Amino acid sequence: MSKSSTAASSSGPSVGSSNSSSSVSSNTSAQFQNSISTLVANYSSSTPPRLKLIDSFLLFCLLSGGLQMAYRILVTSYPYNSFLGGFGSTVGQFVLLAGLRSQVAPGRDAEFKEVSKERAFADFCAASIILHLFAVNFLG
Amino acid sequence: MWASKLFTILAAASLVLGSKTPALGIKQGKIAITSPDGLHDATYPLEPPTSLSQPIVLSEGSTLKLTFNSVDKASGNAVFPQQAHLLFEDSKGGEDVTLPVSVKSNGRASWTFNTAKPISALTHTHGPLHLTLLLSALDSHTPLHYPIGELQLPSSILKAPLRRRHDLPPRQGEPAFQPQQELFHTFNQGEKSVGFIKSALGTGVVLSPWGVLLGLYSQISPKLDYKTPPSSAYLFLVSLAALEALIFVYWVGLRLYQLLPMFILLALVSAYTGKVALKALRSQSAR
Repeated sequence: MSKSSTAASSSGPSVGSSNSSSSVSSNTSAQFQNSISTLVANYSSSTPPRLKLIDSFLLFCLLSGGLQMAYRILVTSYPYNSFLGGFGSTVGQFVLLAGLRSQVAPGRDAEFKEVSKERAFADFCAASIILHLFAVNFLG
Repeated sequence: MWASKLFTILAAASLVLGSKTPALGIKQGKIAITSPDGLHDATYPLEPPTSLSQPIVLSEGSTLKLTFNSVDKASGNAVFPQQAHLLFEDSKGGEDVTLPVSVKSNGRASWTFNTAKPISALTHTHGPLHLTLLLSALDSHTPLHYPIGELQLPSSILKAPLRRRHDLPPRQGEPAFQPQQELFHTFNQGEKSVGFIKSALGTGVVLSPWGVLLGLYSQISPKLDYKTPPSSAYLFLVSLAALEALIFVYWVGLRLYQLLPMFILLALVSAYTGKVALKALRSQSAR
């Protein structure tokens, strides 16, 4: 027992330092994971379902635009005008959806006193139609 | 018959009239030949209408200078002609060359030809040329047509005559038109088709955002509270769908000037139906 404890104590300092660095990194990753899970839990519990619907559309636009850009970079830009139309429509739709989300989210009354939710939706519809017209013009 | 009678009458009339119109002539006309070595120098006086008895032979490097005074034949006064040209007629059937002669206001004219710097129009002639001086001042004098004589250019400055379109081929038996190189058409290689697995993977990647959207919607939809919208909302949605359909039709077959009137009309309809529908929705949510 004593020999083993002496052996452990004699090799103590070097083992202890590696153990502390690994524990720091594991603590950091654990904290990060905790933060993410807390964020997701808060988002799931506090966000109204309609906003979650808008957020899913936002994620869809993000993924679609990202895939188109990746294709343009990795494979080819041909036909270029189609890339412009497709990528521009995803980016534009993302912006319009983000604007709609900010205007219909809870706690919007302080910032958007003059714009009702229905007016925000009407603006979103009109702007989307114009965006689709411009995107189709680029398709050729 | 009547044409020959008309020509006879006209010729007689011109003779009668011509006898009264002063005629152009030349005075102190001469052709001077100078050569670099001085061995072939010569001077030929010109006395119209008599042509030179011997041909003028130019050697390599020699210079021909023609000088004269343009005068009224009767009075001897200087006349400034409207046109002064030298006509070189190719005796071997080549194309004739006409060159202008520079005349000063006092009627003094000169023309120089240097074989060291030959005029390109004369280099394509065949050789012996019949030289004629043409002067005209039609509003005041009858013109002068003075055949000076024969002119022989040195063969060293002569180039091959320019071939005209319908000339005989350059060599006996050689056709004027040769067969051209046979045309070989080349075609692009056919497009390569992508394998089934690759195309399936690509399709999956393209449709993945839709999969994500549908998955999230399936999770969210049970929590959404669906209320029955007012009937005006359906009209609004139909008008929006009509606008999208019009945009699609424009992409397929319409031009912008064909799209815009219908688009503006439908936009106005959509704006009105939207206003009505959203007003109804607002009042519904307020209750």
